[in-house]
Amino acid sequence: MAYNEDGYQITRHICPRNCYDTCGMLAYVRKGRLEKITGDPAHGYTKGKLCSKGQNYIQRVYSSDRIRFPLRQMGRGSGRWERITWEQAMEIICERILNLKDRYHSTLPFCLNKYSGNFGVLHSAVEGMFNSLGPTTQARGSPCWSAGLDAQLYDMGYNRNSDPGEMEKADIIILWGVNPAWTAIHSLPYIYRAQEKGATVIVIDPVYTQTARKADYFVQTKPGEDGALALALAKIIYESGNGDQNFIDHHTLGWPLFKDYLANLNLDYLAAQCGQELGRIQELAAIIGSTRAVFIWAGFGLQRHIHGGQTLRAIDALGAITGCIGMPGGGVHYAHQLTWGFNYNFLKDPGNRYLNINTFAHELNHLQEQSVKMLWVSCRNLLAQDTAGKMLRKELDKLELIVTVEQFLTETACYSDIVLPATTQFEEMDVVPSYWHHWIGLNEQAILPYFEAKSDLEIGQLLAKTLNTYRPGSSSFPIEKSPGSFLDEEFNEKLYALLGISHWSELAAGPRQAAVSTTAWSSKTFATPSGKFEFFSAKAQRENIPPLAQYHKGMSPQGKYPYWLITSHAQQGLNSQFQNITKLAKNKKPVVFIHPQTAAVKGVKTGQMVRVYNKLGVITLQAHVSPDTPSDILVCHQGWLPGSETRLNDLNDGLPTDMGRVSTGSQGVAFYDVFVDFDPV
Amino acid sequence: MPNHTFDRITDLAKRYSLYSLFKQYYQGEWELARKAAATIQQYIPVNDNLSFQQDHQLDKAALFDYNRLFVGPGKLLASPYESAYRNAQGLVMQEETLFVRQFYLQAGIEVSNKNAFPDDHLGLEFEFICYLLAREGERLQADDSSTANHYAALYQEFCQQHILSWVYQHCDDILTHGRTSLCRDTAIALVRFLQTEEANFLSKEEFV
Ligand code: SF4
Repeated sequence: MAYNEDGYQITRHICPRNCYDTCGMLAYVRKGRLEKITGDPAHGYTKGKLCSKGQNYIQRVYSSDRIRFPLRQMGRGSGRWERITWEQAMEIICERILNLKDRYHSTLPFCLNKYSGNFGVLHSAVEGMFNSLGPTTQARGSPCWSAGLDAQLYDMGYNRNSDPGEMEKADIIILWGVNPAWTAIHSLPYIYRAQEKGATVIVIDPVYTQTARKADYFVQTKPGEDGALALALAKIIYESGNGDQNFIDHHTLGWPLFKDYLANLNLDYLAAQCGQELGRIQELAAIIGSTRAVFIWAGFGLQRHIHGGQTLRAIDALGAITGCIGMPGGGVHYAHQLTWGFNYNFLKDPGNRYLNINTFAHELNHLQEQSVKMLWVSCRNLLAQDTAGKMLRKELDKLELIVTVEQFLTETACYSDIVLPATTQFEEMDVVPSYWHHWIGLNEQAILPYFEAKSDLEIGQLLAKTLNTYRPGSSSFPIEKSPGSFLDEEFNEKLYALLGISHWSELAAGPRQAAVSTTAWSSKTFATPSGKFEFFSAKAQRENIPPLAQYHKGMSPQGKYPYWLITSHAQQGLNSQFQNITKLAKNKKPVVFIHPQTAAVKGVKTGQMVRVYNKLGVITLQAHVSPDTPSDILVCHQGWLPGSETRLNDLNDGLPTDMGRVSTGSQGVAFYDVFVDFDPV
Repeated sequence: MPNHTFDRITDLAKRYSLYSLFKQYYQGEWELARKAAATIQQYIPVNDNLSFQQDHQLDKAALFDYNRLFVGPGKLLASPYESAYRNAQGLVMQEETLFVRQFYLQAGIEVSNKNAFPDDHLGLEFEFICYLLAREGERLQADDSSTANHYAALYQEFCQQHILSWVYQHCDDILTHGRTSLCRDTAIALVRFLQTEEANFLSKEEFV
């Protein structure tokens, strides 16, 4: 429960963003007003600290740009908004739902597109409300991490990682395609302490990131070619006798085949592919091969390529050969699902039709039966984030009703018929797990909802209630249940045992760390069919994926489009969130980082506007000349700036990654296989 | 009742009814706001060729304009919240809001739903003023001029400390961003009205 101190009512919260850190927070409320937000010292991973985004949450909660009331737009994108009451909003939506049902004798015309805007467990109420209507159409999959998740499923059978604190025990930390100095700052203290104790930190990244600046070794690879580097390292380490034969013999499957595969690889070729001198790779292999406690943190960026899954399998294989997997301070870490064992009652599937979230517009366009007529959007800004934006708009134009639940007037909200104001995590109750550390915590309600905002759960209940008033039996969504009762049903004995509590309300005393092994795979018994680390995965083969981790040459810039366009995370933003908060918006205009030589060739200087283009379109960005970016790469940090017409993904073809179906229902997007040219404006 | 008291009550009634119209306009039940704006513009003609449009299309245009300026869902082009002008970061529900809350409390008034809807919304500030003017009138009618003067002083203080410190800027924003005569002319009417009030305060002070 909330407690009082110095005249403040203090409540516990968890930042529900799609972020490695999933921080514990304390909200200080006086006279009903949220006055300050700090980190929660009871959270063992985030330890009372917050990133700048977290520190500025008050700016977000009390932003005068937040959506206050339900509104209806007379003409999508027209800006002609009419304020309506919640009752009117529900009436409009329910009348449309029932009308569609009567016309089509089906619930498939209703479509939901929701993703990671809020990872709170109760936000699945949106799916719950949809599922209560009957079989509907729902976007499924993940634009973010699918290929890597599947890769680790094939190799190890489950997505599991060590406690990030294990990094302190490492002899070598490899930060591979991950930039924790920007995207997981709470992991930095472990890395620094490991370094103080003598660990070597190696950063592998195409871009000279803030993290790379702190490394002992920085290896600047070509985008999408990390698999070549991983396999070259694996081959050298094994062939020089530095592999862990004991691990290989007792805990792996398919080694003879993989060994033959390695034997046939040409090191010069692999080195050229990943843009390294062979000598440099040999030097690295000697460092990595000299010890066992190698902690590899594989980021999401490296799997955002057409062979992203294979890249992660190659890195896993490198881990297996060194024998670091299952060792304290060792292993290959990507993301875990250890603390996500909720009951997910909301997700019980009544026979839905699923569309790939990554090719949503295309799928809408190609529906064989029963087209979609109404779209509900929550926790997403698809118009800013999806590829194929033009096609998406065309598809949206065909719909009879678009409803968006939002905190701000995003591009997607701008293109909706109805917007409904959403609460923040300070105005609702929830429980939020993490995919990086092993802590789970509670969100208590600290303040009243801003104006007329409601949570996804309340909105679901209101809609169900209205629908049933119009036509009894239309929705089976529980309309009277409190958020706490929903949480009662989401937890189970196993989860309680993991957290060492008997009821979720005990989380009000502080977040809990799940009692999972701090070292992933310490038993060396894997969750694969064979119980071993599988160099050869029959499961992959059944999915028409090569059973062995293999190198596949990635895409590279050529001809008319000689530059990569890499759209990585911003420091002050999370996907499309946060950059609209004035205090966080570093740049008023979207910026592209260009290497000095490349800029010189084009006669471009910092501050100048440039047109970046390919066959799909043109976007205009402000140039920032920086030696951190290689000469053949343009870097733009993704984000949504209100009023900006620039959509980075307008230049993105949305090519699928090789893996992702098993864990998320569809392949990921090769967000970083995008090629462009540019000119000064 | 002495003549000057009678005059003061008549004057109060007129000012009360204007504030009450502005309150309705800002409290924004649209039909009410539209009617209020029309009446305000009859009271305070804002220009010679003012043509208040009854035509439905324009009416809708005024509604959309009103929402762009004061309601959302996007960035408010002329925010009706005091804190949006007086808080350095333009946030709502800030210290500035609490100062207004304190002022209301001092007069024994509290906003229902106060932590969800900021106390410093212009519609609420005008409602508070209506309350003060009504009390002043009541007390005058009851021949209790000392309490009446107390309410008058509170009104002047509130106006000077709050309304006059931001509403002109707010009206400027309406004139910069407003697209329809209904919203723009109401802003001009409000400026004129407040200027008269301000001049009265000054003349009273000089008189003292
Ligand atoms: S954005 Fe990430 S690091 Fe920042 S407060 Fe939220 S969870 Fe923590």
